[in-house]
Amino acid sequence: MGKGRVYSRREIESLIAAGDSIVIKDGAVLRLNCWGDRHPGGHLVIQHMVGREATDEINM
Amino acid sequence: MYAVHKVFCHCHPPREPHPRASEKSYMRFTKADKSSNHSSHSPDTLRSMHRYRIGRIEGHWINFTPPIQGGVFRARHVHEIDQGSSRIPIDNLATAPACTPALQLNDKTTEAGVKHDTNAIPGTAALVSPETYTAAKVQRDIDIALARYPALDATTQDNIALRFQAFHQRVKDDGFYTCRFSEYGKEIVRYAALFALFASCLSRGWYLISACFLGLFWHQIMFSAHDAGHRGITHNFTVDTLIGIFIADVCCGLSIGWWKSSHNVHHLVTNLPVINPPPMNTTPSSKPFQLR
Repeated sequence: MGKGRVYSRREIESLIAAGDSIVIKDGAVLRLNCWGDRHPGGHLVIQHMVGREATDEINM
Repeated sequence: MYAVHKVFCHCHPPREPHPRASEKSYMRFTKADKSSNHSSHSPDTLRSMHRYRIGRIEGHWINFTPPIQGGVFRARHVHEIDQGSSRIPIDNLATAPACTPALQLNDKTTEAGVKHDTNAIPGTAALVSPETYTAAKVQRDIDIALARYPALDATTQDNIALRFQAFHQRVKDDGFYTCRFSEYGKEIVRYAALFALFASCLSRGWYLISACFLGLFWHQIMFSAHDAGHRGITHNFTVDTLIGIFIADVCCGLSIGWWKSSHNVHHLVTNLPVINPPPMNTTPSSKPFQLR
């Protein structure tokens, strides 16, 4: 368990259905619920990456 | 240059190093340590993302369509049998429904307010409503885009992502993120010349002409404030903030903090209407929609 736990696609789908902002980066599952409103680039860009692989968008 | 929905948007690098490297669309303002001079997120910020990690995935990830774009997600208790009735739309423009469906243009039924537009559908003289014409035009544009741009399968997109990363690394290695301070020497000469002309004309009582030179001076120095707002001069958060505050707030009466709050979002995904705000110089109350 903890930060090394493996999440299946179905589990991530259910988290997003429950309202979590889940973003995938470098194979890691990030839960950005609390960060959305604090993000200097705005919360919209995070919402548009929910459920998506965002490695390049974050690292760019 | 940017990647949107894993589609590589190809932009040619400038033929010559540009002094205002911060104007590139992927530069953004985040808290940075002294060594950070590239990327939208500083190394400190990237490390801080670990706090939000709850786990990991295995294998290749196929993107969902985000909820904000209409993606449908099944709750935990939804049985697998229901999959057929609430299938998750995989992020694939080729299979996703268009925003407005393609309409039959052969329907000659007239309606109240139908506009006869022989130029709407080349080669036809069908009577179409504005909505029909718009839907057909949108669908045609989608078809053109799908034919022009790379395929949306995972292999093609992954290859594009790898090429993009290699290109980005080349941009970093070629020093495009490094500010050439000598170029600011030329800027300062121009600013000083405009200010000197303003002062000279003012001393002679040529008020209108002196006002023009003062306006040009204010206009020109704001370019440097723009660079400072993008952390593009020294790449140091504190130093560039102080430079921006002096130029914008003190000299020009415009809050650099207010400007950054909207401009950061603008440069995040430049010119994407879904997210992009009016780029600058609009009051928050005049924005047509909330972005934060």
